[in-house]
Amino acid sequence: METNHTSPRYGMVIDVDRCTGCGNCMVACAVENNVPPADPKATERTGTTWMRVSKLENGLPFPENRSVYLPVSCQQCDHHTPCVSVCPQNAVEYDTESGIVAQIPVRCFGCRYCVTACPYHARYYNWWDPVWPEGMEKTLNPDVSTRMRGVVEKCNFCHGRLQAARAKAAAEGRRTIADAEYVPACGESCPTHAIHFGNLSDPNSDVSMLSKDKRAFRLLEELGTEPKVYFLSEQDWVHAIVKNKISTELKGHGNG
Amino acid sequence: MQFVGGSALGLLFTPIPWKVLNDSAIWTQNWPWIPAPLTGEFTSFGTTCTLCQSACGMRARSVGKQPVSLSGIPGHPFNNGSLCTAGILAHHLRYHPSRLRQPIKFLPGTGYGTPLSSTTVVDEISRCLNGNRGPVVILDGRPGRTASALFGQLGEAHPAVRYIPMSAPAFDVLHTMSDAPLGPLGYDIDGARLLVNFGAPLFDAWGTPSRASKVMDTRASKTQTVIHVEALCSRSASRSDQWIAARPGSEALLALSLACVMIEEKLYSAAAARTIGDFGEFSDYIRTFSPEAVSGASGVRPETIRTTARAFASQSPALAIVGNDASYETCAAVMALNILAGTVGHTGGVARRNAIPDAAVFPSSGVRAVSLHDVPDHSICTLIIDESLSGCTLSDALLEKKLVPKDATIISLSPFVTSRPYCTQYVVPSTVMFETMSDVPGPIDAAVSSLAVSAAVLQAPDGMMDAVQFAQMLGRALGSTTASGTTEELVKQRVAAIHASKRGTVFAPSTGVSTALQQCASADELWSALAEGGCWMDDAARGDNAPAAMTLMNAFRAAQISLPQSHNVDQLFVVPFAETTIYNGTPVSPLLSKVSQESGLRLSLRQAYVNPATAMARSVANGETISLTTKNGSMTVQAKVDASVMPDVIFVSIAGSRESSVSAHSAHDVRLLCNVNENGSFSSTPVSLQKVTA
Amino acid sequence: MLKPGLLRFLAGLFFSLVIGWYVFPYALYEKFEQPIQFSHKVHTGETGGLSCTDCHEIKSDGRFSGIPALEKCASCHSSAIGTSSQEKILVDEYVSKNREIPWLIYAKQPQNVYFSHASHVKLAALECTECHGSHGSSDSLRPFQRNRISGYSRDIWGSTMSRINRASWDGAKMDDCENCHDRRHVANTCLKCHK
Repeated sequence: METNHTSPRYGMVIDVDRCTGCGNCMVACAVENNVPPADPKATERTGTTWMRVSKLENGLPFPENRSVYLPVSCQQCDHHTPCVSVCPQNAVEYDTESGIVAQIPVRCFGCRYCVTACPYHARYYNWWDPVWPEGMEKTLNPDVSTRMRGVVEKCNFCHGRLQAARAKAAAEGRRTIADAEYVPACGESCPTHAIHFGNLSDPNSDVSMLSKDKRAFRLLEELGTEPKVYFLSEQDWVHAIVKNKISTELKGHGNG
Repeated sequence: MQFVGGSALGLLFTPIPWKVLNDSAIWTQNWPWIPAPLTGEFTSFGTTCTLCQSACGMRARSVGKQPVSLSGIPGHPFNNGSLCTAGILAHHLRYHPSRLRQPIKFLPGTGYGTPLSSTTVVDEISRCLNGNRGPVVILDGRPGRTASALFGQLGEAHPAVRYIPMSAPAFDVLHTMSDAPLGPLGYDIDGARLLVNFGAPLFDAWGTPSRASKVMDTRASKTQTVIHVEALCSRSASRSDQWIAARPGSEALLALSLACVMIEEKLYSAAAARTIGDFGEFSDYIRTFSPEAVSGASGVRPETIRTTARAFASQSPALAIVGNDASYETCAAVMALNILAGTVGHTGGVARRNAIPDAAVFPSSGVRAVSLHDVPDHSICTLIIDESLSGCTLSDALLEKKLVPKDATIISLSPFVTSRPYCTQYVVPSTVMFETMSDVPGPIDAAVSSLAVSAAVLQAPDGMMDAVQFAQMLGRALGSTTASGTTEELVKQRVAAIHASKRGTVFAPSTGVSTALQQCASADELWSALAEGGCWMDDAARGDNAPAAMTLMNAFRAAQISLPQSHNVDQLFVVPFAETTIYNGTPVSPLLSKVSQESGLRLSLRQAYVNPATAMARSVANGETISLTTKNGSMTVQAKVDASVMPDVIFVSIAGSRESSVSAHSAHDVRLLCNVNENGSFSSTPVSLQKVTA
Repeated sequence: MLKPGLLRFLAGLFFSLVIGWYVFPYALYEKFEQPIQFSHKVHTGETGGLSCTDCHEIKSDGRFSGIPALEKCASCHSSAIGTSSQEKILVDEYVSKNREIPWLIYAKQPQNVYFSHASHVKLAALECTECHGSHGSSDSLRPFQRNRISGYSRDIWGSTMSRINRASWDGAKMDDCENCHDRRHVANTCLKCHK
């Protein structure tokens, strides 16, 4: 019998001050997870980017204007996970063995309740069938299945890589894996090492310690969803803007 | 009736309804037209990225030999595990939808090409080269490769052929300033204490992808300061220690006024000044660019200019750098700063690299290289360009100026259609990364020479040539001798010559460490380290390598930098804007839509940054369409209102302008709207803005 | 005596039962012969002397080699061993042309399914026969049966339509995986088996 009394809870810590907004994480994610290039009609609203880097500005005019970049993927909510609770089809599930919020596109029938429920806009609906230019389908990653139009998909911390790491450990007769063995594509591709990844349940892990740093914050913390993605910034205005944005957005929801 | 009833009841007790329901449900989950990944043996191999000269070591995960994802090799001396956005997608290049499948010929004035067969194109090129029509010039956008050596051989063997290696634009200018050949150059950024950066995207894939990380790490130890000069608070500007907002096009003036302060206050290196033959004339020239005189045109306060100049002189070694798309004028002015600071040929300055020790393989008479700027205008009859590399930032305006009007022919090797409607053009389809063996010279931000290798793992489509085969084909057409042998044989000869020299170190991906080349037992061992994504790095050049004699004024006379007349304060200007220099204009992968079309993280083609104040004054809201009109034409773009850009300047994207249209001279290319100066660079051009209402 | 109506009713009943249980399964699956015949018996018996893991191995990265690539076959069959017609096809059509053999995989799962041989064999210590039956001692390759609607191999559903009284290796539907996981108290979360 497999025992899991110390199941890992994977989490991410992103150093906003190191992020240059280059977009490596976005394209590495798309390569890893077989997300197709944009349909000609796709826009910033209908495109599929499991990881999306947004620009956050301090609101001052030129030349005092400063900005940072905020890479936002699924925040892997630990409690009251909004998408899990609304899915009528059990296509979304909290994976107890990794803490990853699982999206199973083959079960999804595309009602998009979860897209509306997600406070982070981290879920993407496939408005079109995936199309790769002729021959490029040969570059698809065999560790991740392709999806069709009409289903919702999102970041799962590159779960295919977790499966591969577990298989490697199994081949060596191990049941546990070290943090270094499993890194999502975004973290691997980040040229400034802004993305840290690891097991939040392990108090000695890199991410555990960074998540308790005084520079750390999470998005929409007051919703109580306990996201497992943390951000770091030394700049006060970044913290202030993140807090203010929350209140405006919540107000927006109330009025709407 | 009863029979039907019985059948219906019976049917319920058979598997038919249940199994059909089950299988149909499964069918809806597996639509047959949705592509599935390849199945096969999952493995990995190491190689070197050839998209630019940075020579990043990369590891490809692959199904059989087909790469499915790429990542940087940790510990690699150049990229240390990082890749740029284009590099991550390098395995898509082979399948790019606009890839050229067969040779094509364009006639002047038409946007449509005629496909030719592989044999016909060789015949026609041969006729063209043997027609005694006039000077032939070979432009090499990435010197230092095996193919470059072959192009060089063509230039030496044939009296009508001139070989022009094009290094980084700033180094091209620096070469012309030195009386004796300087040899290969690089920026020793690791050694510099102060970096004054004139618009190079230092934190955004300029040089090696690990550069941003390295600079950030030095910040913690306060060993390096970065001052960034640009007209907008770009990714690099906002992450530098100081950002100087200078009006677009005023970078050269600003650099000269820094030089002016250095001369006025005697802050320059006296040793360096003694090597400048025309120092007196140069000093007189430079005094016209006082901080007060330049302040108006650049929008930078005189005190800022003085403080920066003093820092540049005192925080030695200080290095001034420019981006690869900088104008000739900017390059000349910025290199003059390095010369005055005395950091050319010194640690932390513009490093003079030793040449790769392969002279025995590719003998060269050491004829001094010329720059395209030195070629007389309207003199080139036939131009040969190797465009098989992405990211070559060749100014079409400059090319057009150097070619014989109307009658010139361009012969280019390219994986994509690159039509130039002002002349006849043959485009020979080229192989891309993973399809051919290639060697890669080192990155711009490394102080020493290096060599890395990218192996052919996939079969190239029929009729495609690599650069070496292209050079050999030209050699046959010209009746000249070039080194014979396959690309792999020739590259192996170079590697053997390097091994014989016993110089430098070799990084082996299998061990993750660099060791002295002397410990490398055989040339084969060096070859296998290079073939799996390693690299050889030369020893640093020893001692004082400052150039012995320099002449600066020729370059400045050519640059024709002048203080602009004061302009109307309400005047709007348009400038072409390249967000990243690596893949701008050259296709990489359609998946780049993630960072543009699908997220707005970067500008797409036909989008422009507009300052909120500028937009509001003209009632333009974010996302609205505007029409831009200059005396050269007009185009419509989508306005992206952004407070990080300078007011009254419209920054129009040139991303993907080659990719999206058959012709580079299309309505999508903002460069056609801009004024072009004598040196082929685009200047910020007065424009009028009209809101387009649907 | 039975009324004619009831007789017709029973005839109808009988008719659809025959169609449903005998004709339908036959019609539902499309049969394909393997590109060449192969005998596990010969390879593992005295003639070949190979063990299962000589060809089907779990590699050091934890991935399973599955059906071996041509390279493996060619390491012994670089030239024909014996004179059988199948041997001639192997050498002439595949080995000498360096073309991979397009085997039809009986146990092929759909692309959204993840399965690790390493964890089932190394950690759970399952025997190959638990899921693959006596395939390893077969003397010939049976025809591959492809479901005309779903495209799946027949082995996923199993040999019988009713799925009653099956052996552990007869069928590999999601239910079968889940039941075994339940019996062994292994988690049945979606991501355990899906990718």
